[in-house]
Amino acid sequence: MKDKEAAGHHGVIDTSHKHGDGSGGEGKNENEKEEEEEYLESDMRMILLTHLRRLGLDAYIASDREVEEGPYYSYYFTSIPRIVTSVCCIKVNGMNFDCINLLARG
Amino acid sequence: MEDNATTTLHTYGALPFYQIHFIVKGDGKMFEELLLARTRKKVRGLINKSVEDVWWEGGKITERLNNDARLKQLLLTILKDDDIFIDPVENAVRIYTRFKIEGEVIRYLSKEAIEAYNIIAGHVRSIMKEFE
Repeated sequence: MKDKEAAGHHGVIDTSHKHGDGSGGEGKNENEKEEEEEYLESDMRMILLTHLRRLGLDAYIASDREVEEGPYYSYYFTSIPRIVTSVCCIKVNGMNFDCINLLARG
Repeated sequence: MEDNATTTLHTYGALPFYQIHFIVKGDGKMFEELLLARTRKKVRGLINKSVEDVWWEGGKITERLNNDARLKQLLLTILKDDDIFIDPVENAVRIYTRFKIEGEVIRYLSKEAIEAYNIIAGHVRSIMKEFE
């Protein structure tokens, strides 16, 4: 419960406790429990992976330190942010590129 | 409460803007002059934008990219208010577009877009092999 409160304060939905995490509380009725199970996926890694698989690609999340630790840009192009965070690396079989790296701004 | 928050929150960056990089591994710095490139386009209309022409500017790779008819056809459909950059860095060559807001990341990643990135990555790889 405390975790959820914390997540709410920061405006981020925590998806790690979405299924039967036991935080339902005693005072909740059946309707409230059903509503809890319907959620929007907020983890960008899973959203992207699901999307790629839906397109028929053989994609999977794989750690790749060489790619994830950067550098991310050569800075020859303008309007490139200085601070970015690597979210994940997704490998796709049968493609000319080695992997897909998802970056978040800030 | 702060202690709990640090263990469970998925906070990747301060802002909900994401960018997808398609990566071809290799010494990008060695081929910097050949591979550094970006798209330019001629757009018609202010509200209902339609892309009339797309071309590549940059290094030697642009000759191949501009001569690829299938790639041009794909770019005309996927590039509305966006550009594609080929950016060689130390350990890889990164192909990416501009940052997208959280909800629009996958909307721009259609089957045609993936095919276009795949073609571009193929050209990048062939140039890297050729001039190695």
